[in-house]
Amino acid sequence: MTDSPDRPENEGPLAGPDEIAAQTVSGTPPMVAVRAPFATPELLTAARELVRTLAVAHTNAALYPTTHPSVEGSLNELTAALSVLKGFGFGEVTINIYKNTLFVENQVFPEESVTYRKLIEDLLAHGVSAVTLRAALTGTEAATLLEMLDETLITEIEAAQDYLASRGVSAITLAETSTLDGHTDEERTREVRARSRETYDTGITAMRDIEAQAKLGRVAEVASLQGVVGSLLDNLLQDPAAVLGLTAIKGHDDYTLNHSINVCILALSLGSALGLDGDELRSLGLSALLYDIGKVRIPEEVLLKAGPLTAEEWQRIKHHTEDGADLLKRIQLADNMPMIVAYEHHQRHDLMGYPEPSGNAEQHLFSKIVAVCDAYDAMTTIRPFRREIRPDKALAVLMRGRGKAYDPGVTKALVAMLGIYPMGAVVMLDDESTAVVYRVNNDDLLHPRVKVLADASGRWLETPETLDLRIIDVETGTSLRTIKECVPALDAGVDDVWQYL
Amino acid sequence: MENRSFPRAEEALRLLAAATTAARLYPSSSALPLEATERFVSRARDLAVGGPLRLNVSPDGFRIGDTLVGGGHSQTIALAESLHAMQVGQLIIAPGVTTDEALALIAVATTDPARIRASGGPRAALVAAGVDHLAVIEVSLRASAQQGLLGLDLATAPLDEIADEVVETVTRRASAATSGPAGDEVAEAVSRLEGATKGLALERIAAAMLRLDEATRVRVLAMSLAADTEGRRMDGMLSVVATMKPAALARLIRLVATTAGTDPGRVVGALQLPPETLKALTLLLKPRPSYEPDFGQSSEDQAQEMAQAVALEDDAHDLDRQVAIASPTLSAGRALATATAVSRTSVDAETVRAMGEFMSQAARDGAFIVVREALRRLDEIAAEPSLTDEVVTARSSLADPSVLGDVCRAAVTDADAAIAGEILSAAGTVGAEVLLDSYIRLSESRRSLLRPVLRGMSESILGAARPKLRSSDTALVVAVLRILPQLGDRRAVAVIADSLSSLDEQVRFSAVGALSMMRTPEAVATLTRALNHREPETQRHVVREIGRARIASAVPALSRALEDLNVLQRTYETRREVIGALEQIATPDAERALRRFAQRTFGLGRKSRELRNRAIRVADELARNRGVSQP
Repeated sequence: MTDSPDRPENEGPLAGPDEIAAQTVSGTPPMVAVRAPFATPELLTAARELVRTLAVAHTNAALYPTTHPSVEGSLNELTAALSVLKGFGFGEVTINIYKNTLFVENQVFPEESVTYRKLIEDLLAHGVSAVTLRAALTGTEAATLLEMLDETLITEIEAAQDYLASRGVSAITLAETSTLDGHTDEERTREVRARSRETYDTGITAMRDIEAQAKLGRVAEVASLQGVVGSLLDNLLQDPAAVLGLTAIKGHDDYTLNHSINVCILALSLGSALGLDGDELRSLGLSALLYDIGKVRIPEEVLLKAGPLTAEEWQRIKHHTEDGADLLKRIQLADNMPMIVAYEHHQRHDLMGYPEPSGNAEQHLFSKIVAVCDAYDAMTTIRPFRREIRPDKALAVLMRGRGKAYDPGVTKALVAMLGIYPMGAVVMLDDESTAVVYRVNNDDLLHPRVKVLADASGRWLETPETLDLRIIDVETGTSLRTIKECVPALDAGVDDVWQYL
Repeated sequence: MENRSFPRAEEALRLLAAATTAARLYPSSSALPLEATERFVSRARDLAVGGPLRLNVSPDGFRIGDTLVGGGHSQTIALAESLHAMQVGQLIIAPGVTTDEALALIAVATTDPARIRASGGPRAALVAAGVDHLAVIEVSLRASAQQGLLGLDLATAPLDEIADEVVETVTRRASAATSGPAGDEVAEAVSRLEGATKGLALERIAAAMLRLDEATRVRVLAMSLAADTEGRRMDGMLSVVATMKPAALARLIRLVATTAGTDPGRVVGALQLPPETLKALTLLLKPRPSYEPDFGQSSEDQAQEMAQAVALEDDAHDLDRQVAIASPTLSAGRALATATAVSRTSVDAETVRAMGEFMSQAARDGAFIVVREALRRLDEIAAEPSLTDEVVTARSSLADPSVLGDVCRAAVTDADAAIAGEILSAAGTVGAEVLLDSYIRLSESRRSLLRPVLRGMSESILGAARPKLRSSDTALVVAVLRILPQLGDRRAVAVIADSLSSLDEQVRFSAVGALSMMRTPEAVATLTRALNHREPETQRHVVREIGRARIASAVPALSRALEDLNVLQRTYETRREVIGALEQIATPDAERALRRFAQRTFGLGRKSRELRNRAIRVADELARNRGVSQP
């Protein structure tokens, strides 16, 4: 919890492309929303080159027979581009066309969507909206694909697939794309969402009990909290977005409890994105629930004071880190980390915080994660004594604090995970309609997926309209709709953002 | 309502269906239907405690939202079929439902549907029975043939239709209000409903408000706030507005206040709001925080800047490093540091116990500085009489040979190895024994790395060494004898000297070597005394070691040994070694001792002559080397 109103204080990557592909194939989603597959400039260039070589080969094949040196040369370039991607771990790559916009895997390519219009149109005209190229692709197989695109009688996906199959092409798969979400199981999504919410509420109850223990002088029994963390992790494994979306729940009355659970969820998601293993995540989760337990020893009138604090009151506030560690010192048999994180979470990355660190020991990674998650949730939550800060501004505050209050890498990982416009952020679109971000696109943090709640005149829609802001206008190559600005949810009249996620 | 409530709703429906079946099967004199009904009522009260539960009725069962509830239970499905046959679209269970009300519903459900419809429908039947906390909504858009809002079934009519009627109603009323008392159709429409559906109707009208464009919404509230000629506002509509969710309501109030050029508080004051809503509104109507940062750039620029910064991977390496060492299993040192820090502000038995529990693992992990700090802190805490025993127990956590073995291994590679000595020292004799054992296991080249650890541990090592020096394991004893000189403790001389009487020649020689390494006055004195060792070979080894170590202060003793007339005590071989040792020492005293021996004439025999001649040659050589002319 952040102590004072003016003291501010994070979907992301980490599986390799093959792992991601394997997870997608096996139907098990990665732990937390996966980083854009072409997250580095090198990978992005390689993906762009693949699209370019395919488009060039397509153009050449329209002008010359596939045995012509120009076509053969461009086909060689295509297979070479595929080899480069194989070198990055991509056993196969899928080029998707979704709503006239070109994606490689789920990475949007806006410029290419316009530049290679002819290729896109020809694929769509043949009923094809997804082309998967495997690393074993030969020039002959690629030529067969181009020949198929030259066949005007083929207008259905089945016919296109038969064309390739009858010619022995095995390194190319053609399909239809209706969504970039892969196979979404609505029923399962609803179940995970409900279960996550149940865990959230169970967590609130468990935290209330722990606070009661703490007020009596010690925290010795944390099995219930470990259960909550375990459930959150299970749900995170199944549907990261459902769990992360819970952080949009902002309890006005029981801020402390809601905040603890929110920080726990953010920390688990961020920890998972950073590649921490299961045991580490469980420890991090427990730490994130308990890091501020020392505040039970602060009188409420000080804790909720709206005006400036006296020096004595400030000292009292600052002491909550030591008080927290003191309360948690006897659960060390279960885990050392809650005590450590409780003690360190305000020391800051530059060690200019409190308590004064001994020696030059940097904050533990868990403390850094909790610190940044604490700050984000605190800033974006309304309190009796101050208004909330909108999510994009809160993230900007954190980014400005990189290298000072917050670890640079951890902060950036949080932003990469949450997006510039995080899930639950209420935004005004360029047409003045009001929308809520319900998914972050990791390949394009500025263009998330949104649900339009109210039109430009303020009329609430009967059913929110879903939009992927990456989708481009084929004429201009720019997004069809863009975010004009993020607006405070409460000011926009949106009460319970979570219901839209 | 979330899925988590479904099982409870399912159970309540099952109980209601069971009670309905009981009412069908058993005569009215039977207690079973009543008991079954009471069970339903009890569960229904729990279920509706947070507000009315609305169930959609379809031929295949009941639904909450789109989810079928109790679909697998035949009695529940039968109940749904019965209600559906009476054109019931929804069943509402409100808080406070009574057994009589439940019995009335069951009576309706068990009556022939045709009779119910003919007598005005199930809703009318329940109203006639005085049922207020249970309601059924019939599948009909219009409540009556009346026009306007009064003609709509507020529980089922489309929201857009309700919205349109609300606008018309409010506009009509506003127009009338300027010239006389104005009616309140919203209040009237709601008042006609049974208790269980009033809340639902208010919520639906509020939801319908959101289907209006914002300007119209603002106008509706503004007109509702306007008093008629008798000073009455449109309270029915204001009741609707009061059920809006806080954020939506706050925005509406703010806009109305802005349009009217008044303070939002005045608008709030005109509404009858529940305390929680009022509290939330007060907060939401506060001005936006002035501290919200803009960093001097537009939101768009700021977003672009953040996206670019996040795309850079400049911190990846450092982050990977931190992840690699983040495991809680590597945190004992940090935990000990934390507990030690906590002990400075709050020290009790628990704190000391925590320190003790962290200490052994921290030592094993090589967090020597932290363990040292903890030990020092424990020393301070030990001054508190009530904690002395706890401190002893905490310190004893280090007296684990396996931990201390790790300390020794870590000390070999750790720059702070000297601190490990403090830890081993704190573990007392066990620490010393482990250190000795570790030393023995190390290769010769690495043993020197343990020297820093030995410092300051002499007393406990000497204590641990004594029993080991009595061992029959020659290698062990020899190894221990090599450690003792490194202690730099003069008390080691006496311990080493004990080994001079060992029956094992290798041990005796090692003891001699250890003494020669020490070179302290006590060690030299012991060595010179050993020149009289009962065993000649040992004597000679002593002589050789004195010579090798060039111990000048031993020259008088060597001289005495050379001149000793006891041929049994001083053999030819011994004297020859002595001459050799004096040659190595090569001081003027050594030369003088050699010449004095050479001048002695009572030694008879070839070997004596040979020794004197040798002494002369060595003395001359020494003189020559020192640039002194021969006498």
